[in-house]
Amino acid sequence: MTAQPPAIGTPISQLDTPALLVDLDALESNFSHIAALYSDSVCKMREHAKNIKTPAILHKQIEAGGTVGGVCAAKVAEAEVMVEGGIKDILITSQVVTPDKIARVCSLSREADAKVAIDDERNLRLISSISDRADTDVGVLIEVNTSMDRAGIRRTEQGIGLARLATELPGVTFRGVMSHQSIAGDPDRDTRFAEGRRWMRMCIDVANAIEDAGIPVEIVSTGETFTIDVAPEMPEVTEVQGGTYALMNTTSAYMEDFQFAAKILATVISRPSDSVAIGDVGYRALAAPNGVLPSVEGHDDIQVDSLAPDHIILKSNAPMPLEVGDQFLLLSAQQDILVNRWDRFIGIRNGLVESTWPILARGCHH
Amino acid sequence: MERPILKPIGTPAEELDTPALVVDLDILESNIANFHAHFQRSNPKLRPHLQPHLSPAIAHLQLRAPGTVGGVAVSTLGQAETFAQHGFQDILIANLAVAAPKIARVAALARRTDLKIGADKPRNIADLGHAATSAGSEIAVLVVIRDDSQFIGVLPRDAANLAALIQDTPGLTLAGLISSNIEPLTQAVSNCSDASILPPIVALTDSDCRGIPNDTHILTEIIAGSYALMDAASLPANPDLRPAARILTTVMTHQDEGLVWLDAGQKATSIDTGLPLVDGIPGATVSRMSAEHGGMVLDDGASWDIDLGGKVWLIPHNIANTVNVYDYIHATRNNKLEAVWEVSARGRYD
Repeated sequence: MTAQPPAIGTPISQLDTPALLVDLDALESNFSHIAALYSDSVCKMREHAKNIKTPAILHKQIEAGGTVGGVCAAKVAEAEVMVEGGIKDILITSQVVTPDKIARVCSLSREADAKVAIDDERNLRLISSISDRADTDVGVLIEVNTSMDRAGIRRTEQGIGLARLATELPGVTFRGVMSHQSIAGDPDRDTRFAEGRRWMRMCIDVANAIEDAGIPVEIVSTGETFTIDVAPEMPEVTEVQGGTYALMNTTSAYMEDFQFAAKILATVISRPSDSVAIGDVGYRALAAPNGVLPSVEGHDDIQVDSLAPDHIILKSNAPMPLEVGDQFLLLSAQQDILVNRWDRFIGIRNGLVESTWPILARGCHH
Repeated sequence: MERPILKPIGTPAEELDTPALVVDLDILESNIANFHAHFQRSNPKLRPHLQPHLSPAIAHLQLRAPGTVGGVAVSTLGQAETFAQHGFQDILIANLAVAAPKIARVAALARRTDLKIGADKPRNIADLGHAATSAGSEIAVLVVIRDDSQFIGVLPRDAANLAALIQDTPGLTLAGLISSNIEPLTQAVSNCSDASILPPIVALTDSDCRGIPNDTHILTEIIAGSYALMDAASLPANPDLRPAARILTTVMTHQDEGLVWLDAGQKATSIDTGLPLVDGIPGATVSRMSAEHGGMVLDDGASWDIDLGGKVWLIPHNIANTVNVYDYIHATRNNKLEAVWEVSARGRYD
């Protein structure tokens, strides 16, 4: 039973808290930036549904432009929500290894251009046999390990072998390669470009080797928010799996072209001392993996001291400007983990509720 | 909303769609029986805290067991509304309601349930009183006594003043005192007693099950919750309880010797307080988690036969955080699916 949505037109000051808000001007600015950057480029955006989890909002980027016309999803259940929400082109960026889930992917491929990441011959053969029996055609992309040592092939020859096998097996079609990178800390532009190029090059090299073996590569899907402006400089990259850029979070603040669109509205419920205020939201709702803390928007004088399960402890060097009953806005450090804990976005423009969206793929970690 | 592939009753546990939150019913029932036995023949009694499962099905099991006060505790008003809708009557909100929309909801809910809520400021008590009077309800208010975390509540020396104010405010009744630390709570009880105020409830919250203190004669109730499902963090203080809740995961990629990646990452476990433990594979550890993936490594010298598609059981570090990201609990007995329960109050931070 989710919390009741607020009425359209409600001022922020009358919203019950805590609440997950989306600044619609900021969101639209982020979508417009992508449209401008990618509209005339070979490289297009394939927005990652794992961040927003809401088909209606993902459609806004597709309508704004600069995209492949589809999205990617981390898991099968998330992909199903997207296809039910009218998305016609979907890439599942994790390996799908159990027969019941593979059957769901086959079913999705009847409704949409469905593709899945693979990195193992046994997995490819299983997908092929299930899809062949279902008389469907599932697209496969070979995941290449670059910076994460997580999923993905470790050697180029593995990639060539998988690509060749995918062209031979029934029920599957070889579509291309993909990779996912991460960068730590607060990189400057030169570091970001150098690391981004180096890692994406590893994925491109596998694509080139497969082409050299006589197998056409249609899709090179690599790059994410920190390489949004790096990828278009690399002509082999056909699409970028950007997720964080749309709502943004403080740990990606170095991507200065994007604005913070996701904000958590909270209320001060206690003032135990002159310099301390307690708010009505804690790590359960905010998500604080690895100890990362949110920031208070518009208040450089207030620090987030710590998080309790259902409360936040704010401290100020000067007398605390927030009183009991005052609202404040928090910016998240880990936006996609945050969104996964909420059932609804409240869209705000000019201080009023303009729209609300159920976060349909919340909890779809299957 | 979570959308697992729901399987028929009787399905073997390891065939459930993953990641799945799975509760072993024999262990759950034995945890409830063992923990409630502490309260059966003595005061204080137990008030089950529902935050660690957020599920009406488990709350009913707890209230049917002996040793309780007959009511439950929750952390938020939204959770209280959910459990009221599922028929629970005696609900204690171990928190404050300060903003106007919340106070109006408290006053409305108090008309239909035996609701208790904390307060720590005269202004808040006045606001609650006005709301109750205009809603035609009566709100039972607990004085929150400041604990070691120092963030909400009054000092023990101010307990009687606030208790008297509650007694004197139309629309309110004094429910009692509540704290998560027994020392200031004991001081607050004597502060009230000096002013001839006898608080009906003296409640100690121990929602993480750190253990029941020996010196409990001043208490009327202990509010505890993690004992039912348990978690890695509560195990050391509770040797007679076992983990009833585990996360079933599947190995989705295996590229390196001694390292596999599971299909449960931060989103399917919640690692705000720590990483989960691996159950049943000696020498295996969850070493790191990204949003969608969990990395499991093997100690030097150990061996495993785990491979692609294999199943791995994880014990959550903090069960309340894990339950909060699932909409369904798969209840099993003898490793077969017996029921699917809704986590009805998940996400009710409001």
